[in-house]
Amino acid sequence: MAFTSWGCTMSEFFGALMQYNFLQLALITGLLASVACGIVGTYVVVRRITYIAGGISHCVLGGMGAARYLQVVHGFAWAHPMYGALVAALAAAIIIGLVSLRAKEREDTVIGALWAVGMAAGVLFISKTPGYGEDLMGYLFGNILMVSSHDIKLLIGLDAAVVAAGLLFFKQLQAVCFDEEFARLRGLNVEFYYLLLLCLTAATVVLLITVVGIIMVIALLTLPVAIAGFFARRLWQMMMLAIAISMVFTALGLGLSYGPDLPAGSTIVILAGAAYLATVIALGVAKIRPGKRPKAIVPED
Amino acid sequence: MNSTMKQEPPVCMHDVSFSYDVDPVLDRVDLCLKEQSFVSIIGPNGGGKTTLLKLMLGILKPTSGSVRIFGRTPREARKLIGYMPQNAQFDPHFPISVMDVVLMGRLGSKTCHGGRYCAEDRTIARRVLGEVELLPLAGRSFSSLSGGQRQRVLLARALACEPRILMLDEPTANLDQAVGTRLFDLLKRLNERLTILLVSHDVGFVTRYVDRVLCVNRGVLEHSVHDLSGDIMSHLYGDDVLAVKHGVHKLGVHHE
Repeated sequence: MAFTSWGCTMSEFFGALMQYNFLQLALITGLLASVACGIVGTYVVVRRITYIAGGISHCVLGGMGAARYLQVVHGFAWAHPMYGALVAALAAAIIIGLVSLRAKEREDTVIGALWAVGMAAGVLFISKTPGYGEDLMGYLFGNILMVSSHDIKLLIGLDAAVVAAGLLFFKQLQAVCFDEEFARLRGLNVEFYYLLLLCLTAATVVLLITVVGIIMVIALLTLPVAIAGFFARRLWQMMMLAIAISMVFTALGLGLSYGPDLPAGSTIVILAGAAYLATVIALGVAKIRPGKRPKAIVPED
Repeated sequence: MNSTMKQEPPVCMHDVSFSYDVDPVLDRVDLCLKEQSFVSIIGPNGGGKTTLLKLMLGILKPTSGSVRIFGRTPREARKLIGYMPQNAQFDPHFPISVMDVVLMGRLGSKTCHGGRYCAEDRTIARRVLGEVELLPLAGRSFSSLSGGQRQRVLLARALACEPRILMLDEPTANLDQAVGTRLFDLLKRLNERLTILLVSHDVGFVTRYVDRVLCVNRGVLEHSVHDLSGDIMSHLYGDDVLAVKHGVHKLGVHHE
């Protein structure tokens, strides 16, 4: 039963996909975001800076709100909310990064403060902007179906920059994530690469916010990577796997949400959460049954 | 590598003091190590062993005094040092292969740039993995190895730097005796071409291999391992701690 209704939903989606430009743009957005998400999300997870990514993403509301305010109230047509988001995310990344490097003991306080202040600023700006209710919901929970062809150009540029930087500095970022002290002793500018990683995280957060919104960004940034982490033995394998998993989630979530008119972002996140849980349970079961998995520890030869 | 550098000692500290806040951890340390020596830093916990090593690595800066590695500042001499940290600090779930870990020793090498390691880096990594007898495990996941194997991978990474001095922090921590012995046999072989300096809490064990010890307890005193006596040990660790005795001990040499 459930299977056939899924099938119907998906075939309805494919039919609509051929027909409607906005669905094509939404799918492209999801797939693009998945690439950045798999690469940068992997660094974020192995370096254990998920809470920093959380801080950055919530600050974004301030930037989006300010841009929208300027656009609607003051008529600055160029002040696209996505520029506001990018500026706010990068500013938050740099501030958190510098605090984390210079005053480690205040890091969590600063992240918490920025988190709340960024959101508060966003809410203030939006409340002074006509028609704010719709905007606010879109920013918080995603509006992938509203992506315009102008947006997509921006997203492609951002995605290309993030992916290029993430791959161009692969060995340096890998070393900084695995053993920062050793990397520093090899003459690497560890502070630079740490800030670069946070800026890449900021850009990826902006990409993902288009898909699932501010509140749910962390789920999409970390869940595909966490699932990939169960199977990958090397960092680049984790990235490739996470990209693939994330693409499946976004495409499937979009397809499943279209027919019953569900919010796409929430559907994607629920899918990701369910898949993570299913993986944990499946691996747990496999572990309990003896002889199913090779022993992890190699005996001393 | 010019000729003057060849003659400079691997490590020289002159009147070095260090404190994290008010109380000095190290007080007016003077020492010089000879090329190709095999030296262990020993002393009680909190006595400043790791601090001494970090000063030599340039991770910490002395409050006063000077540290020279082959006649240069630790920062300038970074490329000449192969560093092996304690194993305990690594995230056990980090997805990385043995080869990837060893390749990190090639970071900052002038031959290859960009985000990937080049063929020359890989050749060197394979060579040093062969040296620690782990080449067959190059593709294995680092987290799947035993403690002793991991230590040898970290040693290979330090060797991949093509260093002139190896600095190791507690290389035998959490290893059983047989595995530790094997690691030290390997270090002894490497000592034929490299200066080796290590921190250890296991005095009885290391004195079988090293030829000099640096006794650290706020101050630093250098001894030949043959002079290491019960007197020195009790001075260092306090009277209630007995030195582990074995063949090389000669009693009766007095502490300055």
